[in-house]
Amino acid sequence: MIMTNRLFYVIAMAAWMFFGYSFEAKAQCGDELTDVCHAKLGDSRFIRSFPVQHTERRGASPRVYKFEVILNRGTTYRIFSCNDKTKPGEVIVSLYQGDQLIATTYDVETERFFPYIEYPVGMSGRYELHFMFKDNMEGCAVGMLSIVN
Amino acid sequence: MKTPVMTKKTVTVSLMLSGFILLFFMACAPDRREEATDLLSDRDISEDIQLTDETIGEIITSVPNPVEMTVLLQRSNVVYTQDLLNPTANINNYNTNFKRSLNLGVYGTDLVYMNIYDRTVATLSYLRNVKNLAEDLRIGQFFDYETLNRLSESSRNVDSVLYITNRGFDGMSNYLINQGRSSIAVLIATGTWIESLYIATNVQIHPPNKELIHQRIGEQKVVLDNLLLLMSNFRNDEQFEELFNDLLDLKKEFDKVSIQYIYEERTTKVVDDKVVVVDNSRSEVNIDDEIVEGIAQQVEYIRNKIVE
Amino acid sequence: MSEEILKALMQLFAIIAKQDVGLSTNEREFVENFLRQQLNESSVKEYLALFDEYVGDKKASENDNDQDQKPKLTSVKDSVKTLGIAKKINKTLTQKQKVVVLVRLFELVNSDKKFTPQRMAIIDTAAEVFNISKEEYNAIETFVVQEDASKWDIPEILIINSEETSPEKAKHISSPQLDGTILVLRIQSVELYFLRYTSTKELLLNGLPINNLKIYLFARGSVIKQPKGKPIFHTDIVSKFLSDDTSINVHFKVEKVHYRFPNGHIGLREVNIEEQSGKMLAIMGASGSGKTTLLNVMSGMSKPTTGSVNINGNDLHEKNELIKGIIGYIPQDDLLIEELTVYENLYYSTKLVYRDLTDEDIEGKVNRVLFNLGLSHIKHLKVGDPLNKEISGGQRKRLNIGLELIREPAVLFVDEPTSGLSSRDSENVMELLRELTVRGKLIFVVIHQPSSEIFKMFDNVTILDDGGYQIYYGNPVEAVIYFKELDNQINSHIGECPSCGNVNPETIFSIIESRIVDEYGQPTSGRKVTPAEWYEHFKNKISINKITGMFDKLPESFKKPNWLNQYKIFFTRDFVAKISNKQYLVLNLLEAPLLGFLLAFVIRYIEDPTSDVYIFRNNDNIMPYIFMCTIVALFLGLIVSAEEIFKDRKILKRESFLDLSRSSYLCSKIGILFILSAIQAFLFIIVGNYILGIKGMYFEYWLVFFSLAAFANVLGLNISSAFNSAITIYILIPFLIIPQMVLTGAMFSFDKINRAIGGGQEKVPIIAEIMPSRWAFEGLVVNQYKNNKYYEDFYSKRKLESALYYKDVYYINELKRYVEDYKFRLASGHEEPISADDLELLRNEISKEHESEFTQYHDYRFDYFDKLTPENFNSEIADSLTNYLNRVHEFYRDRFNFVNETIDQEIVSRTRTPEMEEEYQQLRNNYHNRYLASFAKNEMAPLPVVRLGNKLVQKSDPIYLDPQNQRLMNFRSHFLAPRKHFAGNLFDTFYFNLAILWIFTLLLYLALYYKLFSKFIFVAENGLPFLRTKLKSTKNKIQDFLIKQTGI
Repeated sequence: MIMTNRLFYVIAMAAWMFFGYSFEAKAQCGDELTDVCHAKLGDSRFIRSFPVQHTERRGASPRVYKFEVILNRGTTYRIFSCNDKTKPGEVIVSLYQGDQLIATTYDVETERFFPYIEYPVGMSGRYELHFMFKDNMEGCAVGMLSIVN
Repeated sequence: MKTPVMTKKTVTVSLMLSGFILLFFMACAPDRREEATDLLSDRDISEDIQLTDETIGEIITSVPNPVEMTVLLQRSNVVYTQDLLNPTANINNYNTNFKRSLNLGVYGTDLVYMNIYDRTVATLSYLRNVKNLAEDLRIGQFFDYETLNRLSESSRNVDSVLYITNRGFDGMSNYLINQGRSSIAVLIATGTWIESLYIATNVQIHPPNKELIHQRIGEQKVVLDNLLLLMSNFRNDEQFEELFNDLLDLKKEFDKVSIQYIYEERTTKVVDDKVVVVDNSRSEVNIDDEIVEGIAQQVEYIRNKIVE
Repeated sequence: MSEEILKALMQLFAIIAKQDVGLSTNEREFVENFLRQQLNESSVKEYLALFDEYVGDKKASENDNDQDQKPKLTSVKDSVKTLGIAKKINKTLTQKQKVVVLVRLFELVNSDKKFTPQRMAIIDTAAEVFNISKEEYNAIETFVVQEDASKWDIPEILIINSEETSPEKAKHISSPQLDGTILVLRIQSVELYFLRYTSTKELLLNGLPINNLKIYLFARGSVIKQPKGKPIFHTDIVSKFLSDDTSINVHFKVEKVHYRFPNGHIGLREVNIEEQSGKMLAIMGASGSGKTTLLNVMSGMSKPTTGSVNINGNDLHEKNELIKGIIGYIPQDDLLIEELTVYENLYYSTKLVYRDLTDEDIEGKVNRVLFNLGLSHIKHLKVGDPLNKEISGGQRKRLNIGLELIREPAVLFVDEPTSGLSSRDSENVMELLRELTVRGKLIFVVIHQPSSEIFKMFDNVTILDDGGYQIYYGNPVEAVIYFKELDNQINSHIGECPSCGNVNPETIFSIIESRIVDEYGQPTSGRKVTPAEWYEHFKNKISINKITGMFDKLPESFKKPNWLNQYKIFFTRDFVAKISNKQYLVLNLLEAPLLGFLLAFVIRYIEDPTSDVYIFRNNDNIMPYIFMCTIVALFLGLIVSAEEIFKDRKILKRESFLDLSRSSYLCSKIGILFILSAIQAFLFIIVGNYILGIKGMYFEYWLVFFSLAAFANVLGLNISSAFNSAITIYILIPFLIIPQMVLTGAMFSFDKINRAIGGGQEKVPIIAEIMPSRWAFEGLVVNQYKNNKYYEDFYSKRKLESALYYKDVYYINELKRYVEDYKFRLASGHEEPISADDLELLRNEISKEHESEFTQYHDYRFDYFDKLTPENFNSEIADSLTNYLNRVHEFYRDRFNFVNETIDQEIVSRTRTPEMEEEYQQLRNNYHNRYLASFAKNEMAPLPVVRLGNKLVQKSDPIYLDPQNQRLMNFRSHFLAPRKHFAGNLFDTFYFNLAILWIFTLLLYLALYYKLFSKFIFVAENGLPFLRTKLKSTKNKIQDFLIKQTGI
């Protein structure tokens, strides 16, 4: 009995890890979401998390949540995010320097989401992470910044 | 002796005695003001706001996490130096929110430093200090019992430990800003950064790696600018003012560092599921030993003031 | 008599004899006879020769100077010699013996009737040295020398003749058949009686004929038998001399007494006894035959199942008060207070008995009793315990008797007075009792294996056999005959051996208990005659003499002192006893500071391994210290009091006859113990708190420690009075202390104990509410945290900050969660997006918010409160609720920030300069303990807010939380509440808890007074049968009552 329980548990854990965010279903906004997202780090080293919460605003253009970061030359950063599945909104993460868009996790044309941005930095300096929710839907998400070894 | 039947008299006397005892103690209780409710009444909220909390929240994330610097040091084979860290006993001297916040940052950096160098046993007392300071600042819920439990459970796994610690600090920062206590968040960030810099400028670095590290030190110039911006909000407080001025002095040292930015094309390509950026831009930092020394001295001055 | 004495006596006789004209034949004959009475033939010759030798010189010189030496004054040489011998004799002989010697001297001189001045001078000298008073000297002289009957009329002499009329001063017994006169001399100081017969007619003293020229010692048990006429007993004579006017004539009747124990066994079957004053009755029997039971019933301590015990017509068990003053009871065990002296024991006893006497009077009374007991010379010796003897066993027994005698009871019950005593001591004690009898008391004595001497002292004896059967009642000597007759043994008529005077009581018992012998000649366990059979014989053969006559009305019982005086006497007595016991004092007084020192020293923790400076703030052991204080207080309190009442048990039993106030006894005990506890508390706290650097709260700590110890004192007294062995009491102590340790709240958090006994709830579990240690601990912790010098200024602000923080960080978010859950479930199509319970919770909490004190400062209300029902709740209401909650949240956040800032500003202003900072730091280090703070704020709590039923309960920061949800009389609250609620008011926890503690103590006192513990144990031990009988009797009472009322 115990053995089968264990086995089941191991399979479930493995499945959870492999299929990552599809098991985010029950995660609540906030700490728990961050923990769940933590699983997506893989072999990168965690630097910072960016929780964002968005409620619908009628009319006006969708709000963008910005965070400034300093990225250093010689380091490769990985940027990704996780959504709170209990809400409809899906977050789009974009990396900017000043006005220039460097990379984004959502391709408008193909309507495809990319889980990660990887950025081996050449120029140290100020950058910005922009978070926006697709279709201005209400949502809760967390952005993660990590270093790749 | 035959015990008498419970007479009315005995019952009355007993009741009276009980009542008397209670009264006596009531009366003797000193009259203390239990409520400080005068503090609840509406007061005039006038702040000199230059930056909104929102803006602070956006900028504060630019203050680097000690992880980056420490990893760099470790990779450069810098030897672990316990003596540099702020002694845990110093916590007894931190009475005000100001000092507590700064040193929360300091101890946070120390904690990361120790963890990266895998000194997990020594981290216990630092962790306790972090928790205590957080409690004192009323943000203890980020290093609560459960969190500490998790930390001890995963103490073998450095990544986990770092994650939990950093998540805690991130959480505190966010919370404070949302709470309207962004000054504390700024101080924590400042403390974190100063300690990080202090360690970097005081360790023994050997030639092949020295340049890399010096460059990184130089790059902190930008961070300092942000910090000063963040601080400017709170200059009406004399403690802040003093720190601000000290940081200004530090800026003078940093002004000696020049950074060149060479912009080139940046493209992205998709590899598996990742958007990988190809960055041809560069930055170059001009810094020499003398400048580093100057920075180091000022950093040391500020840092020692903070931790004494 | 020893050789020395005899030699001395010979010398003395010689000196007298050779005065004036020298030795006469009569004199020499006298000496010879005198020697004959004491020694064997060869020794007689030896001493006679010695006597001759002593006399010899003078004889020779006498013949020479016959003419010249006429009346000559006693030579100086001789008188010096006399003095020397007399002094020697003084040192070695007892007073009694000295008196006898003096009488003999008189006799010597009387043998010739040559009363020359010289001889008289010598006798006079001797008498003086022997300390014999003038009156007694004259009495002796009169008695020995006087022939003129008229001169015999002195108080020391008893005249027995055939006349009817009594002389004036002398005592008189009329014996119509008597020829001549019998003279009896009484020397009061030594209680000796001498006898002389004037006629030559036949008269027998103890079976031997009396010579009219001789003077006889008239000892105990002696009897004068005449050829015609009644015998005259020693007691008859003695009773004439000793008559106690104050004692009343008592007729004691035990009528068909039948006694059944609570467990059903029969203790006594139809026992009948009838006696009157001036008699001594022995109660004998094998162990288990019911002797002690009989004694208890007769003395009024146990009530007979059927039958009655009457004194002068009054039923003893009904008219208790009247009779209390008449009965005295001397148990087998010592009732002495060992630490006090002989005198002190009597003194306090007397004081308890007599209220109206001055100290002087009491002193006089005591001294008189001491004299009568023959204890005057040891009155300043400590009684000591039986192992450390200071006074002998016999003296102890006599003192015990004396304690009863103070009250001058008319009837005495004595339980085994001779057990454990030497034969000489036994005789002394029995003599004393005999004397009392003669003075007119009625004495009942339970005695086991008496010597034949003692056996003969009794007027009557009653024998009980196994199962409470009375198998004999009558004269002791005749008892032997009775049993022998029944046993059909030979020589059944010879009860007494004339030459040896022995009556063997053992014979009786061997007959009673003789066993059937089996075929091998070994005795089996079966008896030849069963107790029931003996009983039948007894009923048939012996009838008890009825006593007739009118008897006096019983006097009022003596006036006992009032409550306060009794209290003072009890208190003084106990106090003196304790003070004089050095070991007790030292141990008890040293215990406390020693414990305090050990405890505090061991846990004086300095955190920084490199520093030597002790910082109070960083000593994590302060909270455990507080906990240990409560345990030590309980422990010390119990230890000190556990044995108190138990020790006094027998004394209490005796004093039960005095009908003294139990409450004054208890209060005096409590008074002493409280004083001891107060001192111990003081010593412990002074040492402990000082070492651990707990500043400034000495009084509060002392108060709690003392109160808890006082509680333990009364608890200890309770168990002390309930149990019947010391071991049981000490075994009980851990059971009393350990639950209190566990449920103090220090070792195990109330959140984390078994839910079945109340763990994890809002309030302190009920089981911990009855633990005084918990109240004490809580009081101290709250006090230490709140009221210390550092925190005085900050507490109220911190309290506000805590309340706001709780709302801001935990509470409102929790409420919001319910709404969010609702929205989520609604969106995902749940059937019941929100439960009725959840809605109720929201209603409860929102209404609490509406009523909270904070609403004065904002005017937010949730307008759709009544829509918080399953029927009405929908997504709009939910949104509205969220809005409301957000606004309230903002308020709390805002105010929290402000309060936090304010407090911080205050600290900043107090630490502006390094000196100020140093000062502030010192203050903090000395008064605020980190670990205690963490404990008080429940930082280890798993969850800051929990749901209980349909409400939310705050678990964090209990020390800042006033009690919530209080009904009027409900004073229960959560653990570590800063204030307690009662009857609509809030009270400081420290004082409230103290009050509760004292109420506990008061309740225990009442339990003590009404002996609830003993009753409980009694029911537990005798369980069902007892309850059944109790129920039955109650039922009967109710039935009777109903019948009376309704006439049915």
